[in-house]
Amino acid sequence: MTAVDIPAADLRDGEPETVLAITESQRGLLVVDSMVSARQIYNQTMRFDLDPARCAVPLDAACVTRVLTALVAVQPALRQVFTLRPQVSARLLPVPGAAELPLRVHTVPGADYDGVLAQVGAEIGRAPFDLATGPVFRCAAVLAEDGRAASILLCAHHIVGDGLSMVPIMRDLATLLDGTLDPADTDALLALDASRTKGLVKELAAQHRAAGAEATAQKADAWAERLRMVPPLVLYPRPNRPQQTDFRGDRVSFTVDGALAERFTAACKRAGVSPFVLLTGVYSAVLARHGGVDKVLIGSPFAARRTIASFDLCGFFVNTLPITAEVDWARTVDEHLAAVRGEIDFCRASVDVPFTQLVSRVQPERTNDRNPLFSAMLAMQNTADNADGGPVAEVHEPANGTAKFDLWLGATPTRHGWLLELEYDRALIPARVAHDLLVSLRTALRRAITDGDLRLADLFDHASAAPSLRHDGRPATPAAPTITEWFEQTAERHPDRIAVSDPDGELTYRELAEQAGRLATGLAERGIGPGDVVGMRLDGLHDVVPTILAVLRRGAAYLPLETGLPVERLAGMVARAGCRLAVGEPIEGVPVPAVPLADLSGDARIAPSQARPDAGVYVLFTSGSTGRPKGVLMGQRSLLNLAAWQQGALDMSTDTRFLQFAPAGFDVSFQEIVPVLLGGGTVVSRRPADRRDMPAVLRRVADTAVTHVFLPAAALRSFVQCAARQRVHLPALRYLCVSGEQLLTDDEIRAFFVEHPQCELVNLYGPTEAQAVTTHRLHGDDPVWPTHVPIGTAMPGVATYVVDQTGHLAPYGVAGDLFIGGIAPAEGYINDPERTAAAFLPDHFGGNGVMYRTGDQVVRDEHDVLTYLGRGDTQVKIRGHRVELGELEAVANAVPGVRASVAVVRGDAQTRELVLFVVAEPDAELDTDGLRAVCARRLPPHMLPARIFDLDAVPLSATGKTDRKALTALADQLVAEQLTAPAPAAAAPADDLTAELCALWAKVLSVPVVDPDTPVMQYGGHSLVIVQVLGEVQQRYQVTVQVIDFLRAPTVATLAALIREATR
Amino acid sequence: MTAQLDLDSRIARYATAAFDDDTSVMDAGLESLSLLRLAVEVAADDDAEIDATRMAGVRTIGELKQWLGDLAVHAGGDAA
Repeated sequence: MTAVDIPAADLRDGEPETVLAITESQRGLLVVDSMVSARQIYNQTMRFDLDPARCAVPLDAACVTRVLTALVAVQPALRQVFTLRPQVSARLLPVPGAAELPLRVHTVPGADYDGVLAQVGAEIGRAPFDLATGPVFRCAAVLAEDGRAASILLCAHHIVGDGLSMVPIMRDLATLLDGTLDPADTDALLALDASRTKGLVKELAAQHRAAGAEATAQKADAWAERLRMVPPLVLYPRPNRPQQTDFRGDRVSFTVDGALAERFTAACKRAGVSPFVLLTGVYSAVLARHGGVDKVLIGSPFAARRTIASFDLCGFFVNTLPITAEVDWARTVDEHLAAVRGEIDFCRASVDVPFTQLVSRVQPERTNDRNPLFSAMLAMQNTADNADGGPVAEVHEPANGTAKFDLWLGATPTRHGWLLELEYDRALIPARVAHDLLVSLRTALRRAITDGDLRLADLFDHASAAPSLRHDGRPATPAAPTITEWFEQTAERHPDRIAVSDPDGELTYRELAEQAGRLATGLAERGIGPGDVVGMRLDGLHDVVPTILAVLRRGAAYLPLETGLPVERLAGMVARAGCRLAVGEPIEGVPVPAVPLADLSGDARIAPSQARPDAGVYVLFTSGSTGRPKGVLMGQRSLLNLAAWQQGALDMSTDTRFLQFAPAGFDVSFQEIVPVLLGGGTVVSRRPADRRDMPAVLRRVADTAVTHVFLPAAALRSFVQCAARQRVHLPALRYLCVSGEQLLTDDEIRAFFVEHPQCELVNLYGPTEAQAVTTHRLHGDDPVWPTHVPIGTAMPGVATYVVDQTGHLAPYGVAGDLFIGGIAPAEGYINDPERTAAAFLPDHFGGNGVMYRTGDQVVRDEHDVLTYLGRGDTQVKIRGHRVELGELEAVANAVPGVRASVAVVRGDAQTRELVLFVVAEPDAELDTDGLRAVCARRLPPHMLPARIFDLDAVPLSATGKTDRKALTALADQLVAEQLTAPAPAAAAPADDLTAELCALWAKVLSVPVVDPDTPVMQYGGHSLVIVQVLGEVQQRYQVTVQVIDFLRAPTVATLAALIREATR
Repeated sequence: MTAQLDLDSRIARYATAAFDDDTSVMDAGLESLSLLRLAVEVAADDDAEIDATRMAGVRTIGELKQWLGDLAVHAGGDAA
């Protein structure tokens, strides 16, 4: 291969300049160019495959150079360079000489032609252009040595060309190649350039007239109002989704050809829509499914050329506008397409509204370097007619390895139909998720063109059920068909080992088995047998553990009646559960016969076991949304599976010493007791430590050398902090399990596990209706510790179905409701067939049993790991943005002096704001400003707390979880107090720099005064103004401030801080 | 009348199905891009402007011809 390198022009400013007032769309691209790290994302490559037989002269390096030099000479837009000062404008560089043309010619053997062409196509667009100095284009040619094939490639920044530009460029190339226009005819070229430059100036003027019209402003106002109602589209939502990316992209594609292409055309006719409308309609359904929304914005370029002459010009004259598509899953395909057609007509009729005007009116928060209004794009690449018999045989637009949007759909007509390409940002959408997006698109398109009466939801299929059934691979084989039998086998094997240890003494397995037998006989004497529910009003492991085993031996289920619960609630529980007898002291007001434990023991003759595999094990009550608690009846099969899994997964053996921490009313207490006894280990009481006294709990853990501890997720931080403060090392501890709410980790928690490399952190997830069903584990030496820990992978026998809003099994990366099937679901709500039927549904995803609808939103990642996203019904949103309160808390918790923090949301709609409550370390002063500064550094603006209050201790609900409701009420009260307090005087600029910057902004924004702490957007500032001011700052202070850094908190105070930081 | 006939034949070059004045532009197989190309052909004056917002309201071949006719007149050109 030989390549002729012709270096870039040595640019001179010698000639009178034409200053061009650039369009709003061009301004938008200038802003993007100054904001993003990967400035090549807006490089646009056109590849023209030539037919050498139709060219007037042989295609060699000299010919190609002449032709391309002439092309640049007659297309003035290609010679534009841009400046922000003194005014945002473009000027034209002189026509480059042949030697100055940025061109690389590759002459290659015929056999290598295709490979080199593909390589050059992929590489020509990889390097960014400098829009200020130019040239903003580069060319290449690939020529076959045998003269049979040749291609010309032109890569230019989008700011000087659009899709329609391809047509005049193709036409110019054709006339230059077929001899109609002689590339050596300087006079002809000069004349053409002069007339086109005039045309360019006229077109720009026409664009400005249209954009500045009063009617346009009114249209923009009304449109912006509608756009504010559309929720953000977040594909593959997850807590750690990057805010910024390097814009690296990949493509996946499929073709619509043959019979399918015929159906495509027929479907357009059937629905009375264009291919653009059809594709937008189908794409919108795919985006709504994958983004979990019912309304999407799809950006698409609309031709906005105004003058007739402009159709001979290369130039950026499109307006990229957001198409709103409402996706009602019950609507038919053709009804949906009609609605989409209406929306597209609306965009066409509003094409004079510049995108930038919409952005400035909608005022979306610029929290990242993405497009401010939409994350998905659709581009119809159908502007050029291939094969019109001229020297240019075909036109292609090769990708350059970037992705401008989270997701982009390009539709290119081919000789046989359509090529549909999805381009995705690799940092946001993994390949597996992109593949599933493509599958959805292909399936939906096939169905939509086949049947216009299909409901939108039926455009999709279930994703593969295999991931729903995938598990952690750990064994879960019970050693016996009932807990009772399994326990008896274990007790026989290890009669003298300690089964229960508490401060009152110890029980061996022999003693425990005998006591359980006697109590079971006593229960039998009182008529308790299979199917009964026995209340337990007991304290202390010495009493609780034998009673549990005795109840199970009778084939009955136990119902904890905890002392902390109000009598009324206990009475309701007893009645609902049909509880016939309670063991323990009578409870006044609770209508159930009670027998003190001491009176229960039957005679020495042990009644035979009535335990059976289909019996219940326990009844636990959970809160119901109607205010009436629901009694969950868990059965043997499910809990045996859990207990068997626990043996292997948590290394349970005769050496196990498991701390019994949870109250009996929590399902976790089962895991702390029964599986331990089945494995021959020891259940160790937390007593005398009070659960709320973490230092005492820690001492107990250390003193008793327990191997397993199971804590509420909310208590983990406090536990590890205590260990660090007291310098307590726990060499015996092997497993620290947590559950109950979203586990958030931080450096302190990680440090504990780094210092305890033998100990694993196990995050367990499961509702009371199914007990623990999934786990995720972390070790101290794991390279990455996610802040928001996934709930992980299912146990064997458990099905985890993620169901998206179309009612189908969700593809990878699609959020949906979690349904739990397989062996895990409870028997139901006891004596409550109605609510049981509503929550425990027939498993129609592949199993024969039932599945429990958790109401939890989760997402399955490409590695089959589940992440909890929140409750489907209480998702927190601030001005349209999804907010994970835990993320703000994790940032606050990492600030020195902060012991704990809780975020809540208060207010409605516009006044909705985040409030952060902070518990300071014992001897620390709460530094609110410092905390705000850290948050501003690490979080997007919509996640910053509007107010910060200090707190003595985090209030807990009756179930031991953080009481956000109480804190929200407290926030309301504190805010009301603040509002009635006298307002502080307006802040004067703190220093000379701030004062100077205030003055600068006031001048640029044409306002009398700018407050240093008020976001500049409130004075009408927008991104372009910001870019201009930062340019001014650079000149005045010799400091480069990144736009994205400033946008995190766009105030004068921030700017001053950034300048100081840079000059320090 | 001549101009009218010529408009029909110009439109026929881009249409993919038979049409009369009541046929919708969509049914005639005309996309917005075809309409733009027709406008460029018809308006002989390079300084003429296309009001794209009005183009969005063109539904039938009859309306298309009306629009193209106006464009030719305003442009000072001849639709023929």
